[in-house]
Amino acid sequence: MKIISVRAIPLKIPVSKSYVWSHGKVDFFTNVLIQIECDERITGYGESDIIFGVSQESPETIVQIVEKYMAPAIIGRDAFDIENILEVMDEKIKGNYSAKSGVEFALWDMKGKYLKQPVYNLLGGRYRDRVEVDYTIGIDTPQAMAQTAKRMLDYGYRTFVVKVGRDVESDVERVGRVREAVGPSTKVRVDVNEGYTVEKAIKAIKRFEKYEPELVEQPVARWDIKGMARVSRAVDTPISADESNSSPQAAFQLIENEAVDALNIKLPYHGGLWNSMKVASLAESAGIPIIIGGMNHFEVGRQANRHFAVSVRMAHSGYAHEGPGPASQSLMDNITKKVVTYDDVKSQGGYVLPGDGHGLSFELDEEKVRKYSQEIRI
Amino acid sequence: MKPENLSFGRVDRVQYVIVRVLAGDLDGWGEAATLQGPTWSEESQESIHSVIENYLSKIVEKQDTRDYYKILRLMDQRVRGNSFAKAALEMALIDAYCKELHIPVCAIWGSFRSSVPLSWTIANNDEDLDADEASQMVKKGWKILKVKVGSLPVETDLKRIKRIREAVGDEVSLRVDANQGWRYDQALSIIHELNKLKVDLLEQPLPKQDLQGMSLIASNSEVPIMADESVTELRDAVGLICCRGSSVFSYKLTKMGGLTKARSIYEVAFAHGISSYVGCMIETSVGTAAYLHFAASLPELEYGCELFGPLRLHGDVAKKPVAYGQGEVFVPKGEGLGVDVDQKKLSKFVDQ
Repeated sequence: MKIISVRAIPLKIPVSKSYVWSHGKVDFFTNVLIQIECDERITGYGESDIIFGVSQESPETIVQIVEKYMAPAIIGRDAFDIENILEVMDEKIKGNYSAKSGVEFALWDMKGKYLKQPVYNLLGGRYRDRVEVDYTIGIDTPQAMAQTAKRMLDYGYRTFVVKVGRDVESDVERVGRVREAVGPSTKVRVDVNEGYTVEKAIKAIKRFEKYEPELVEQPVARWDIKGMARVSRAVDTPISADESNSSPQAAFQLIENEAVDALNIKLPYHGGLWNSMKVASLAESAGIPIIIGGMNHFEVGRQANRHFAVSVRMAHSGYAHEGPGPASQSLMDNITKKVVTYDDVKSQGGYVLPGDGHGLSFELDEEKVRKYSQEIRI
Repeated sequence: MKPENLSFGRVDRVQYVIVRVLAGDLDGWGEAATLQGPTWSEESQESIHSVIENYLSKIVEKQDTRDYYKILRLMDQRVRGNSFAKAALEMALIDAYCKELHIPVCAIWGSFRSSVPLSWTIANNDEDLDADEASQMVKKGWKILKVKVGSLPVETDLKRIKRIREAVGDEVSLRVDANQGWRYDQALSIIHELNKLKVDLLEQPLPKQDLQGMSLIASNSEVPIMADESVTELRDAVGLICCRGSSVFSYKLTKMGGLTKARSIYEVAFAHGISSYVGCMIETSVGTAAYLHFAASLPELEYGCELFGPLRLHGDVAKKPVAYGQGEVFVPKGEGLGVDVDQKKLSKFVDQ
């Protein structure tokens, strides 16, 4: 299964309603579709995902890194040799994990198609059949956020993520109103996205506690691991790390410093499925549950999350996962023939299925790829 | 350029992004150099170019160069990381700003020296070639040599260092740079040998994130440990200082995100007794000039610099390249960076 070509296709799809969070406003998703061909006439697809405001990478840098540096480094190699290819990529290319993850997803997709198996069967098999998902509510007025929660409750969601990061007073109201709207048996999670200082975080979280948040995510700046440990010690609510968990090395430091009670793993931060498996093993050895976080993925990236989430033991510690769910930011369209929708979540009672097709279990809609590749010029 | 064998591979070509800022009727020039792609850090010529063109230039346009500190803040708010791209643009802004004030860039802080002692890098990965080159350079008047290691077995690297020391005698300052290429046990096994060979600096022995390892090596080593890849941001510097991971910092404007940020790191390090060295990414005369103005303005610069880019490269973009003496390099005089770009030379090196 020798790799013969690697292509990077940037795509841009708008959202119907702007999504606001502590890092800014999202009006569209721009990700890069990775297409790898091998000499067995199999094409594998992956997706390199970024978040403006968080990622150092951009669609422009991903296209160039993949086509100019990764392609020559891996063409001619056997697509089965993922561990080896990851090392080759790391030797030639520092960082750029999102670019690497798209390539890595495509290799798994190809491997699965060749073996006629879904990728989860290559990652240890299914630990669970389906993945519990949550719904993320972007920053808005507390009333509007409560309304969204109420509306989405009807779709079977049993966990909501409340985005905060403004002043403590209004953030407390955001959490309170959402709790009021969803009732006591639904889980409410708070995500600060680095929006607080250590002191502000402690103050705010102590006030959130009245509304029993399941956990509070990334209360302080990504680099402030000691500060996160301080917050973690000062409050009763579990603290999870997201932006801080930006590489396998970072995961190790978070655990070592006892800064977290849960780790949010975003596959693109770690360079794909295999490295994320290693992070999950670190978490397992420390007894720390993981959450599969979402980015502004299209469906290809979401499928990778779903396959990962069903096969990793530490992803099933009672936490719902954002990454495998449908994009909660009203993405207008997608790039696969079938897309998991809110109605699918509803029919599964708050869960999603990874599908059982070969590889990452999706069929690409080439017409849409063509259409949305014309929305972005690089 | 004259090739270098580094821990991550052989480099025989440097890729540049040259930035020109137009401000009123003045212009300013900046530069970011990368070693054949994203090998040293995650940035590459392509990423620097596209981040400047697509994102940073939009932030800078219509701003006043006098507000360069504010511009830096805006760049940091809107673009994460990408320190090489930001540094190149900041260089150009400060060049234009200083031209407007009719002062050299080093005059922002004041100048402490008009020339800087210069280190030459030996990186042939071959005992004989290394020893020959070392003695030739010393004959030419060089007093500082730096040996690149980390891609060969540790014993082989140690032999290379021994041969060089034998070839040049004890008077020459000899340094060793592993560019993150060693594991902890490898570094530990060699530091006492390095001390016996009177090596006066060991640079970045371990992977950049391994502060604990650096700190253990540093506490076991009579040879001062210098941090390079490990210190790119002020926060890294604070981390290193707190864990005593190194006693010398290597300053590079691009990895640190520009003159202003490098200076902030220096102030904190200086206050904590950390010594200084100015490294390079093998810049042309444009980037080298910026590094030199930075070097000129440091109150203490104990270990000199390695700003040999224009000597090592087979070409330059400056009308009048940076001037060198015997084992030293001169800080350009004149306004701004003090280097004029020759647009004809520049166009010769532009690849589409």
